[in-house]
Amino acid sequence: MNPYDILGITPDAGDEAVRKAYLERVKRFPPERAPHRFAAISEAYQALKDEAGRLQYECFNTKTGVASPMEAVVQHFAWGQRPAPPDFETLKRKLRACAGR
Amino acid sequence: MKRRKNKGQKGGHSVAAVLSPECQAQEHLTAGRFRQAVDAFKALYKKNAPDYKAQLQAAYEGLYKQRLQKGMTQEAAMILDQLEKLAGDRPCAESIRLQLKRQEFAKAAETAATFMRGMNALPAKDIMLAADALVVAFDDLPQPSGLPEAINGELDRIHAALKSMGQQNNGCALDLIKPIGLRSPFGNWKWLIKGLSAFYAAEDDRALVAFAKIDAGSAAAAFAEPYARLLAGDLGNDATAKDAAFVEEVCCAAGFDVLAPVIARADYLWRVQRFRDAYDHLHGRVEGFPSIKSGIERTLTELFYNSCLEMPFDQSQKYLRHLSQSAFSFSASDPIKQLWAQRSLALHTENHSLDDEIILELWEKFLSVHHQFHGDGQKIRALVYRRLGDLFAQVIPDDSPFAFFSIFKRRERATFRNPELAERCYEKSLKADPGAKNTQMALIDFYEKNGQTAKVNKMLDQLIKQFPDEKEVLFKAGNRCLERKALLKGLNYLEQALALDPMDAKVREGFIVACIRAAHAYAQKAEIDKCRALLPRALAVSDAISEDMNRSHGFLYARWSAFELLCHHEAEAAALWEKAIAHQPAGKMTLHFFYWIAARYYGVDHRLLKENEALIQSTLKGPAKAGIAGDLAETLLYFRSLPQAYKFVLRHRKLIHGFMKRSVQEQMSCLEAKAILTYALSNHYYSPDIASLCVRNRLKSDPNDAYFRYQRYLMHQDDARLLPGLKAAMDELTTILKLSREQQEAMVTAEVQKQIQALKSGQDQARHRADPFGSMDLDDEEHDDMEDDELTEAVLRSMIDNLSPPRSSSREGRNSRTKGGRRKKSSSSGPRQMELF
Repeated sequence: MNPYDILGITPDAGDEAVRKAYLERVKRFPPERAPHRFAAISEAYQALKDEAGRLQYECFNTKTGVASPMEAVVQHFAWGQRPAPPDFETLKRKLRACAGR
Repeated sequence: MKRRKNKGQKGGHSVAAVLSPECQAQEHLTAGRFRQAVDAFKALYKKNAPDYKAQLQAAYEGLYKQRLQKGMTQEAAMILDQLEKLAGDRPCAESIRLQLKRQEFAKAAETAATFMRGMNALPAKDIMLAADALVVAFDDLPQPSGLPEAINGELDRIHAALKSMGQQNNGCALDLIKPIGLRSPFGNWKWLIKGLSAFYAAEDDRALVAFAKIDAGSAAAAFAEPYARLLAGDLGNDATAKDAAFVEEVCCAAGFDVLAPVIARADYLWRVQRFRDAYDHLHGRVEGFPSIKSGIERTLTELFYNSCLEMPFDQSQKYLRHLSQSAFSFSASDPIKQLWAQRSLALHTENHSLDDEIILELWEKFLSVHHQFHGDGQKIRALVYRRLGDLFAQVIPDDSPFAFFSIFKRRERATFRNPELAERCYEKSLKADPGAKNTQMALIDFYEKNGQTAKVNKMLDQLIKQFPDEKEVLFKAGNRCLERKALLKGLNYLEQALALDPMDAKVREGFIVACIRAAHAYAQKAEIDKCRALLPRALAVSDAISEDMNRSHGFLYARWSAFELLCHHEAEAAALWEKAIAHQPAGKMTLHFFYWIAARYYGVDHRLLKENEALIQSTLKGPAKAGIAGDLAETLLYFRSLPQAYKFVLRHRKLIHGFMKRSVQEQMSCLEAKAILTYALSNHYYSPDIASLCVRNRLKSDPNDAYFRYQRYLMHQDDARLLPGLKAAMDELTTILKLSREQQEAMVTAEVQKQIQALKSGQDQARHRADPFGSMDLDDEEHDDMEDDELTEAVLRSMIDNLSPPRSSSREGRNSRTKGGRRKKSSSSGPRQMELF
């Protein structure tokens, strides 16, 4: 996944905002509890921590970040905010569809 | 003779022909061939109804579900009639399934309520089905339902809980389901509500546990599956994971409801390698794709625009052509698309080492698109040109078979990939960002390697003025001064650099080396006081306990002793030699060997070194010892690139060679054997007989030593008589890889992986040569007719058309083997050596 979303920032974030987001994420995913996530956060921070790094990333990054469109969904779900539950009518419609299978 | 045709029989049918009708029927049932199973059991049922009733029912049920799954409700209804006839008086719960499939939820609930009234006699799966029908009926539930009071109460709770969930009130939903028992007909629904609550509260482990408790085959299980797979982080690779409807559900569960159908289709197209179609499907349907912001659109953009950099050349070319067409056609005016497409083109061209002018042209086009979109972009300009400068300034290693004869030409100019373009790009980068220290340092490096010393000096003077307190700049300037023999100025710069970062090992070593060189120069001029003033400064920053020949106290005292001898101060020299020896660990001979060569190299009269000479002679003529041979190998490797020292060693070559050859037959430790092998394989002291003996002897004491097994493998590769077959080679490499991982031999692991890859690609190429049309190209069916379309952007056409197949260029990664397959003799292994002498 792209490093901006791993840190939860936008590409126009400044050094200070990047650092703040990094520290917040590290607090949420410490290395002893979530080593893989911590590694991804550190990698993202290393890439974006200063303006030179961010420009370098914008111009020369060659990594795809994910292997397929579906993996993009799975990764964004894993790193992003949890969505709100569907409203009752949607829930009802979906449950009925499942029962009819 | 005429061959008999056997059209009707396929595969297993010939076997089935000899089976009894009962076995055949059972086989159809087990294999899910329900139509055949029904026919077979029907025949058996006619003969013996009681014995085959259950199997016939099972076959009908299977067929019924199969038809329902395919949406053939009419046929399913007919099969259900048959099932009901077979069941006789007992009602068949499967009718609920049919009603649910027909979306007759009220009717299904009514049937379910009938079943629930006599639920004690029902099998569990029927209760589960009835409960599902009652829940999904919601407001369509007939009133009064006629359900037992307890069941009605639980059903109300489930409905209320689901409503609460829809109102984002998970706490209330959990409170509502608390009284429902785990053995209740609505147990699955209780787990579903618990699981969903945990899912939306981001308590993933709890959600997974709850989802796992739901019985398979229930509506609740079907609803929970996309959530559970999403939490697992892997959709798996089964049929469900490939089902577009399911993928859509997963997207919805992840909160991407709007994108769900588009992503599901694009994912399918991506999986079948129709990359261009996948791109087209997303483009136009996903707002903000491609994107330079964050979010899933950005991730999808990076996937679609960077994936071509990992594709095979032909495929990536087709794909890039498509991206460019999409970005630069007359109707297209999306600058973000143009920016991404141009960037991918430039990176792809660079990756495949195509023509340097084209690479430059493509990056300049990228800068122009960037400028149109973002306006002033001096920093981007500086960055791009710096990258191009580094790319064109790559040094091409000398693979010529005569390279061996130039081992002492240390000042020889390097061969660059494209020195003119490299210089031009660095200059353009500095024009865009004149204060870029790293670019200036890179340009100085380039000038240094290119032998343009005047330019180096001029730039360094400028750099020192610009960055008087930068460690790297001072270090570089110091080293440059040493090369120009401006020893004191160099020392001054290095001392300043060291003061800025006393812990930097590289700077410390640079300073020590500068002190030694200056001290040697003073000793040669008989200015021993100045020499004596310098060496304590080096000692102050060197290591007391170390075997490094530049940085350790022992070797520094030995050098100082040699300088004293150079000025004929024998007593001082003897005292310093005593100090040096005090730093040598017991049993080691490295310092003696070092003194033997270094003193001669510094120009000490051999008459002053009689004692040392006698000790060396007696050692080399005496009994062989692998430890001493290891020390000797290390010392010889340290001095190998100094012509004067090398000439001195050559005079004793026979003696050294004999000692080494005898020693490798003794018991050796791994480190000793490695030092000796490095010596024997080095360009300067190349001795295949010693190398071979060393490997053989080492493997005798430890047959599983990964390093030496790999060396043996390479030796066999060098000798055609010993060349193993492809399979044997692959087996041996696989074993070495396993051993090297166990023994944490990182370099051997990396080398062996490369060798395995090379062997595999060799096999693939051989297979492809044998069957050039054997592989099917799945790529982009819809786009096959687009290949000849003309590109509308003239500049782009010229760029794309100029793309030629990748060179098998020597610019790309080289391994240690020459074209003929022979291993290059190592010239860089062994102890480090700074520009000391």
